[in-house]
Amino acid sequence: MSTTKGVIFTSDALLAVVLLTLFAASLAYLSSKSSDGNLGKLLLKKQSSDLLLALDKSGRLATMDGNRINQTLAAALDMGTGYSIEIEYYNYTENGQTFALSQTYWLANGNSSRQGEIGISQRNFVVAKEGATPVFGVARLSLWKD
Amino acid sequence: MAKKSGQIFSIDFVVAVIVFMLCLAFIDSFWRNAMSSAGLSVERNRLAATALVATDALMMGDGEPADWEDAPGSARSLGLAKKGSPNELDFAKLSNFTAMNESQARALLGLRPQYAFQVDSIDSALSYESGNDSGMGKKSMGITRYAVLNGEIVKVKLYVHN
Repeated sequence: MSTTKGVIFTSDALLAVVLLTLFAASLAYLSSKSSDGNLGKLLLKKQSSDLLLALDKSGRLATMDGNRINQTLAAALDMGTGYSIEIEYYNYTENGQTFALSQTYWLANGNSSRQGEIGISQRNFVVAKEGATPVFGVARLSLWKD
Repeated sequence: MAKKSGQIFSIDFVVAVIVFMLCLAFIDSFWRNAMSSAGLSVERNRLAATALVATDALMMGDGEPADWEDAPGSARSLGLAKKGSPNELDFAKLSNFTAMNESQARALLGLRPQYAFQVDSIDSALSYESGNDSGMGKKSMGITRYAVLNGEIVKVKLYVHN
């Protein structure tokens, strides 16, 4: 007597697998749509750029005073936002037509062993004082959520 | 005579149906939660993107025409920046914007959600506000930007909500 295996259970199993796959795919699609990773990083980058520009235009960077710049950043940023800023000031020597590093600051606040999104910006600026040789500067600001 | 047992009323079938219904109820509940959570996140992302675009327009541009603050009724688009100086706010433009009718401001900014706008100095000494902050809750999003006003650093906050 030959035995024939039925196809009913195989069809059931196949249908179950298809349904499960559809369910998992829908969930993955919705999760990716609801992810806010890109916007958070973009906002941090814009805030970093805004702050460097504001520090420059308000004359804070021109003070060449690390404490004052640090206090300004701590007052401006919301609680829970960490930062680190590196500022380099260069004197321009006309004789050698070179830039010589004259002063550098590295200031930070927050959890430095951060993981996650970071917004980084850089700004070049000039400190021009009447009768004095202009000083060129580079500031790099990193922001993150603690 | 062979006896044949029917399947429909067997204990196994009843137990199987109960287990199946429990699984279905669990999956339904899980699905609804996932959909609700994802929907809320998508809405918040949309509001955040809207707020980001609106603050870019306000802080980077001087509006159209560039001297719209002299005749706010003639404004075709809004911008608070001094001409040629992004992120540096013009006091006259800021004053006219905060005094503007909310629906007119929303139309000029291209905002469909309602908004609440605030400019604070970093030592909280001065503050300018406009818009409508009632109704802010889960479906609202606020972002903070930074600018300069009269030589001082200020926080520019924009909240959008449905």
